Amino acid sequence: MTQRMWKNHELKKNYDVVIIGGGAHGLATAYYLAQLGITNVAVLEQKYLGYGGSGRNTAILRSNYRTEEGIKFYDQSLGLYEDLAGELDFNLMFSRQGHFTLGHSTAAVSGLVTRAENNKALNVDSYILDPQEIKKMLPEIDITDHPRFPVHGALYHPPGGIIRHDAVVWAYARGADRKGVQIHQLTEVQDIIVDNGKATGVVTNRGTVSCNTVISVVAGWSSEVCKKVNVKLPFVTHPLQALVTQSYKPWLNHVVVSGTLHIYLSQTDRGELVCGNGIDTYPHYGMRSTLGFLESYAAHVLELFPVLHNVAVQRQWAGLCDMTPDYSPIISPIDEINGFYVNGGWGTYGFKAAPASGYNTAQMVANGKTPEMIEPFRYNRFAENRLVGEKAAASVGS
Amino acid sequence: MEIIVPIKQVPDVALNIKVKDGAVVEEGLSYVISSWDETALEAALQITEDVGGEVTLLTIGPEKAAESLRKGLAMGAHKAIHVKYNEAKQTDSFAYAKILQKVLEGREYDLILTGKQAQDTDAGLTASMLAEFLGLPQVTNIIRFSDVSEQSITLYRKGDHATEVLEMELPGVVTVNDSLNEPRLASMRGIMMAKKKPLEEIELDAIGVSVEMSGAQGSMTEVLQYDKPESRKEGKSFEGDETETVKQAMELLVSEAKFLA
Repeated sequence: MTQRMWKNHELKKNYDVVIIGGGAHGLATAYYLAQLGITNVAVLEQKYLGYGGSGRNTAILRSNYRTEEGIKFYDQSLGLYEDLAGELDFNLMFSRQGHFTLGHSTAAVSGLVTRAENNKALNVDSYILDPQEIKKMLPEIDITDHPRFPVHGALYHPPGGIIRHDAVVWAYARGADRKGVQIHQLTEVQDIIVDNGKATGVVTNRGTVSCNTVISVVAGWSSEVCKKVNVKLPFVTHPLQALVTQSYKPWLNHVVVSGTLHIYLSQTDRGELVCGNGIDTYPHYGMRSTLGFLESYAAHVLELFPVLHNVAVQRQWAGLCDMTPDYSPIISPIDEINGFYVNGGWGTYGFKAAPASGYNTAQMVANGKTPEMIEPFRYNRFAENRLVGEKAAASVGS
Repeated sequence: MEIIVPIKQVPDVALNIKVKDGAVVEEGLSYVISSWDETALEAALQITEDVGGEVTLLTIGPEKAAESLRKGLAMGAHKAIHVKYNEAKQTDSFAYAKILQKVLEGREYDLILTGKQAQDTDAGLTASMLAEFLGLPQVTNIIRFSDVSEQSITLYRKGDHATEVLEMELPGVVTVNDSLNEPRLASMRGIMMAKKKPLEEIELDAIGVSVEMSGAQGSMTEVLQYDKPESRKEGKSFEGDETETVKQAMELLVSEAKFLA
């Protein structure tokens, strides 16, 4: 077996830091920890790298959020993504093509105006377009009053785009590996050892490992990992489905999102349309694809783009989203257990956050102090009633 | 040309199928149209696009089987018949063929086109039995067809050293090999339209299928248990230059595998 990308290792008995979860966030955390000189680190992945949300998303990048906390954080992430291909020496196929969030009512457009103003105040490029301006940039869109929910306007965000999600996972993995981090696939954490209120190790299917720090970076499985240490955080896991069509000649060079119609789509460099919906309405850990999703997606997307009627659906899949009440993540040390950190609550918006999430988590663990950037995402914000409400900007409804 | 395409909904074999206590674990299974039946549907669609007519999908199965019918309708079938049935586990090809006979008696059709076997049982008996019960000619396992008319169809079947070319009078039963075509993918419009296409639901007693004819009672064989095939043992790799590794491999083939004893 070639080990060109990252090496296989025997599981050691001791590490300084154990990261549970080999997705983009876990691997980014490992990479940035190593950059800070902490290299005795193990990334433990129950399946294969990118098995979870990192391999099941629609790879959309943007920072046009609603709250000050959200906008700053996602903008830092987008900034890190900009330089990532060079830094990791890996072609990530970042395609900065601009991002439309459509509004289908006066109320929706006024919500988008708020976002545009909040974005501008923080130097994030976002502005409102009227239907004729939208039509100029998206000639195939139907802006007549024929659709049930006609297009009233859009929030346009030029820095938004798409990236190759697998490549991000692999590049971070290789980057971390080259700096001395050990990556262990097919290594399932079965228990977390807590001694006198301190996390001291993990039990895996390949043996027990002792360590000083355990970081849970498992997104959709966050509740399950937290359950092992009796920490109850407000994560509720829902499936989110997506589909990809056959390849077509390039016709769509922007990301298009409609919250009202619960859909989004973009076209990859290979020509496929990558399409997603809102989360399934019921909490579930099953990653099944349903006909109901296909029917709903087809009906809604044809309202906007009748031109797509002959487009053939190649494949569909589902991932897991750990939703939080305010649609913002939890990146936080857990006060009750010294040395245990949670990075989760990535809901439907995790992929774009991977660099900033990993960067700040690494800073938090290395310095023993939560960086200002992620202070708003501490878990006790729910008890203290200081939510970071991003539902309007983070999802396409549910 | 009126074509009936009987399809079977089967567990998706691309996913890991678990077996526990002699039975298949239902949890986590996802269900699809048996792939040979999808090939038959594609062939039927091509025929009706060429000479006109309609394709009717037919399945016998539980509530969730309707999803496979909808997928077939999304691919382009014109209508569908769903025979509601919850005893699939105890049912063999004989009982299925008998029920299909009851559904089809009295209906008008020119051709019954289906997969050469189902992906779950691999028995390949239902279509042949159905042809016998209906008193129709049958040609199985075709790789190509041509010259379709209201009266007959020309069918090609691969033999060991030659291709058989057969002309069959219609109505008749044909089963297809998956080398016949590449089934089309459903389009966005097809998926949306599928909801509005006619889907007829039939209860067993409405077509005169008695309790004795269905399930275990109506079957001539019984599945005692399922076992998971043994997984292959880990292979052995040799390192070093060619002369050395070949020598090591030969030694093991003789001493351990007894392959060259």
